[in-house]
Amino acid sequence: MSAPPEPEPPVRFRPRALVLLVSGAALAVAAIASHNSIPLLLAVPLLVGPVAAGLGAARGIGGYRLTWSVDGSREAVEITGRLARSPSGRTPGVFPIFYRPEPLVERQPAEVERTPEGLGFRLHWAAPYPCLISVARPALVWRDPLGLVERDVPVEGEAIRVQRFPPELARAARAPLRRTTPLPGEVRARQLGPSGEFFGIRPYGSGDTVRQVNWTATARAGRMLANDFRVERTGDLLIVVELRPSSLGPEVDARLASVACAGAYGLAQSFLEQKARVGLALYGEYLTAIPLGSGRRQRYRILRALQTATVGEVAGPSERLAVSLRRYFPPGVTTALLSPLADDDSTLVLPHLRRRGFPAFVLSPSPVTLLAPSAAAPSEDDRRALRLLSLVRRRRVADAWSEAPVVDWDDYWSLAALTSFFARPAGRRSGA
Amino acid sequence: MTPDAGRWPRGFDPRSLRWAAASAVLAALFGVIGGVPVAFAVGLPAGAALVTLGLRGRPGALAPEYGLLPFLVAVGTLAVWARPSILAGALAGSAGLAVLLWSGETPGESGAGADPVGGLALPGLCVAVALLAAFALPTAQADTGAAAVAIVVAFGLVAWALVEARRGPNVSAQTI
Repeated sequence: MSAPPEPEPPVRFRPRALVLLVSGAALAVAAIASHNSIPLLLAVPLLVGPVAAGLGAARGIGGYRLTWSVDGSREAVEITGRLARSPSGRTPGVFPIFYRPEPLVERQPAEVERTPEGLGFRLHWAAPYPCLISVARPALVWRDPLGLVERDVPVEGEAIRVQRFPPELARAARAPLRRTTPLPGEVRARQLGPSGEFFGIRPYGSGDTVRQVNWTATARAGRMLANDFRVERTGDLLIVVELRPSSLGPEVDARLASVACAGAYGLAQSFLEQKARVGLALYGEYLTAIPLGSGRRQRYRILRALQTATVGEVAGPSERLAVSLRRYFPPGVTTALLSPLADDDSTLVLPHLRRRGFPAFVLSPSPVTLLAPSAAAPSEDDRRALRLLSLVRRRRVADAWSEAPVVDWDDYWSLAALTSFFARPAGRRSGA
Repeated sequence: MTPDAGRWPRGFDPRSLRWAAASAVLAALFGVIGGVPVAFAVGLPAGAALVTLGLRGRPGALAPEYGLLPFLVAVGTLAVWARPSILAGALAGSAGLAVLLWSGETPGESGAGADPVGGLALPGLCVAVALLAAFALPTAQADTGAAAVAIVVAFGLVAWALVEARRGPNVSAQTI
């Protein structure tokens, strides 16, 4: 026995139809009161139009299936998709409604193309700064030719994720991490490097050290050859994202949190690819922790936590962060603190982390980038204020350097400073 | 995609210009023919059309829905002011139809309605019947026109009910 067919969504009048009906009624009353037929003749289409639209509402439109994907790099977000009708057939008057989440902005109007199978669309959006967001599936409505009544059309499909962070984060996993377990196990990293277990021989490259040269093979082949090694499991990484409110205000705080969360996810993804264990801590008023773990599930846990992370309403004390971390994470784990260092108090967290056994480096999204005037020709006062802000920022970063290495992330679409920091020998990374 | 999108202010849809212009011109014409002073007959709909275009171009979901009100108020004032004649009546009915088309084009929406002119069939028929009833019948009373429109709408409702009854939902024998 088959299930009964689902009832069709009801037809509803749009507010403009009610505006026309009320205006038409008012004109009809005015015509009767003034014994003048002109207002009545004007009122006739306004009264009849919505009624005719309701009478002619389409039925049996069926449902649509959504397939879409996101493309583009850096700030460009290009979304391409198709809404296939089931059963197939052209339905005039079906319109997609796209939901554009913050902070995405529209670069060009949406392109919608009608085909016999359904609808195709292209959205040209842009992300002004790194972000992790979920774009809800578009809604579909059928509208009459005059746009006075509409009816929802069912759509099957999932939301799509937009993840934008600097591409350099993919290379960040070359950083050596500290181990927190005496026997890290037989899990090997996927990365090839200058030390570890022998993997193979390849032609000598310009960046190879003398120790990597395989002299025996070189003599046999008559050209320079070098050894490749499969490096051991890199270790553990704890990512701490500071979500305490600052004096910059909720709007700038939210943007900085978006940048920090995108950076945190890029770091986590990069190290998880190399089979390192990664943990996450979000600190607003209290600590929210995801213990160390590896694999795809851990990546989804971290992604979901970062997508729902928001700036706290009350700032927790700096010491609470370090004390709380000890409940979830072993001391000695390499710690990446993502903090905008927006206030002088924000640097206080670093000595507490150090005293509780968390060797940290700071990746600091700069608030100055967001505070810079967006006008094409900033005034002299704007330039002076920006200069002052930059000086304050430089002093604060210098203060933080006395406790831990700091990477100033002022260009949100580049993290060359972080990769060069990781490329330095370990002994030269410490701060003071 | 809107052609020449870069030439217009953000939020303004040049497609809505044609029906805005048609509505304003028709309203001005029936005002002039109806004996309204030319300055008012031309200035009122033109000014109201500009205000309406500005309102409907503003961001937000409500602006396109309620933005037509200034123009409707202006054209309604002209209609009350105008003296009745068959030409003024025909122009007023046409202005109402043009307002319907203008209302159907929403700035910023991804595409206009399919065949919007086709949606004017029943309203256009009603205007024609009302015009004939109001000016061609011997009584020449507006009440007769209203009664004729009511009859047309009633016929439309009956026709729709008959079509719906024939079409009906697809219910299989197994479901029963």
